Amino acid sequence: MIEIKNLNRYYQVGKERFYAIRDISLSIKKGEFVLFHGVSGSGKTTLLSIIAGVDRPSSGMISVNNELISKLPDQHLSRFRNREIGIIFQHYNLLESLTVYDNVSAPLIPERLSLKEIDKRVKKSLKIANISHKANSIASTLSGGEKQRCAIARALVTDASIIVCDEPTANLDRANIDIFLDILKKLHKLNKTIIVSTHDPIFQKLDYIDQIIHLEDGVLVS
Amino acid sequence: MNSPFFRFLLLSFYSEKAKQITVIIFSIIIIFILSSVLFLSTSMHYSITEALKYQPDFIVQKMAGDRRVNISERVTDELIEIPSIAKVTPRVYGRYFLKPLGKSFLVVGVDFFDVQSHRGLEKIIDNMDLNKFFKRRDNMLVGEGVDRFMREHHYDNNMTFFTPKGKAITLHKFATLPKNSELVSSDMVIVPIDLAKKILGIKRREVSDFAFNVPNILEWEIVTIKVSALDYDLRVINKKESYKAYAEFFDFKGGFFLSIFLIVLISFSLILYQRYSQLYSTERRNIGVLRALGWSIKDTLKLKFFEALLVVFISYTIGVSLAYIFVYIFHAPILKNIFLGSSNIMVEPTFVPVIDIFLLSSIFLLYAIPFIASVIIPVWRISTTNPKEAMR
Ligand SMILES: Nc1ncnc2c1ncn2[C@@H]1O[C@H](COP(=O)(O)OP(=O)(O)OP(=O)(O)O)[C@@H](O)[C@H]1O
Ligand SMILES: [Mg+2]
Repeated sequence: MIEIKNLNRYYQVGKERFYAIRDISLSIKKGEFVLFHGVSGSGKTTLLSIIAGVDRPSSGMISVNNELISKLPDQHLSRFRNREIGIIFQHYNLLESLTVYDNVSAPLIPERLSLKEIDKRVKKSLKIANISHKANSIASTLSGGEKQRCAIARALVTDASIIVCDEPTANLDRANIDIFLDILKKLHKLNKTIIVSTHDPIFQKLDYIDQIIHLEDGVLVS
Repeated sequence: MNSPFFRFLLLSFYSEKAKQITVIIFSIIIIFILSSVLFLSTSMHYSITEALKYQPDFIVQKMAGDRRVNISERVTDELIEIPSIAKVTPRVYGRYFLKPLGKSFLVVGVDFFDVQSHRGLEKIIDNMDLNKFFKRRDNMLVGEGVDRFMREHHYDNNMTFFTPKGKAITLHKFATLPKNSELVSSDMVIVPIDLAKKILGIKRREVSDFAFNVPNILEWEIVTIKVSALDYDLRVINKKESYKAYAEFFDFKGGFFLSIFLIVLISFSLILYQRYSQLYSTERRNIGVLRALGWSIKDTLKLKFFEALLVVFISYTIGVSLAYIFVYIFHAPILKNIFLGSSNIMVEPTFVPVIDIFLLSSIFLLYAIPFIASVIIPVWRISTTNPKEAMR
């Protein structure tokens, strides 16, 4: 359950305030598949980042699973990101010099799990994301599609309830887009809340979208 | 400490080995220089302390202007009168110049029947067969430098000296002094006192100076005052002053090297700092990514701290070991010359390896603290910005 009320995020540019998102209010129920739609610069990444807890709003209220995340101190916010959110970045943001396996295990390191438990979870995620065969490859040697599947596996490994994807199809070819959509469908069936930001019309044709949120210059349009 | 953390630490350390090796090599060079200088100066300190052990507590000389001149033997009686001076040793020594060759020997007259007065020579003389030595009236003991000189110039076992009046005295080499014994320099020629006086042109009732010991250090000051008061032209030197002269020299040299080291270290830290702050954008991004994946500020600091500690540990071990080998096994070539320069007050260092825990931990801290700080501070700054910014 995500609840957002009068959310603003502005950047101070000289003496002026530039609003990346302005006065956003919305709510997303558990297990929903939601699309943030809008042109480049409309504020999709900004909104997604605040929901994922990697950025903080300038003002307004956001609660995720009944937690007011904008007020949390670092230790708790980090824990929140770790447990509740799986992020798939637009540019994947892998640790390029490590193997796929080690990238996927990274979110589990602060959790004080045993190596055995980590191994179990990593292998499970690699399987869901369809990238087990590349487990021991160095991330920098992967193709774009493989990198994304590695990022998906990493987002799944903590068994987060919310999966956030920023422009997931922007750097993929047709075949890889289909693979990605298949995985998303699988996750949707696992009752995960899925939020995708995109300007790709391909998503609008999917029949399992619950909500489409249109953004224009940082403001919601219905 | 959870083992997955250290596994991850080692993996990410290893995966960036090219970068880490560069840092480690720089670190090794810095630690090597620092430790070599400290090892060398410890060695020197030790050697000097050892050498001074063999020197008398007090030396009394007669001055004419700024020059030492020979002193009448009778002063002994006046010195003995002073309480706390139990025994006075007259000393006879001087430089003998070989004008055409531009070389000189140190001629030392020794009372072979009073060896206790010659600390450092005691052992050598005790082991000598004095009956055999005094069978000839022209026997001498020579340092190895003199010995080499004699062989090179085909003197065999006899060398002729000329007194200032032009009289020739031929001496016979009885034995060569063992090297590496304190107080024995290689250009020494040791002969009985009367022969030394003849060669150096010292009058029969005169000597070069006097030496004596005062066991109670608290009395040194008053003894110095009393002896100086005997005559206006007497100079009194005590061992404390020699220590002071050496100490000043060391403080100067040590300070000099320490400042050079600090400059090097500071610039190195600045480079590191820069690298972590701006230049190294992947480092920045990776920290941002870990943060976004749910690592807390504490977690990322911990990772980078142990990474830096690993670098310090590897560099320290290798750097100190190399310095140890360089100084104690190879006797610090080049560095020794830079350090000692052309200074002539120096005793040759003996390079006795001393494992000094205090010294070793000083080296560690002098390096580790600035190094870790220059890594951790930028990492801390990146970690505390929000992950979205750090990843840009
Ligand atoms: N750190 C920043 N400082 C100043 N302006 C920023 C900053 N980050 C984002 N913005 C601005 O906020 C606006 C919204 O950016 P955002 O990244 O959310 O757009 P977006 O919809 O994700 O675009 P795209 O489809 O190109 O990814 C943009 O105009 C951008 O220039
Ligand atoms: Mg974006």
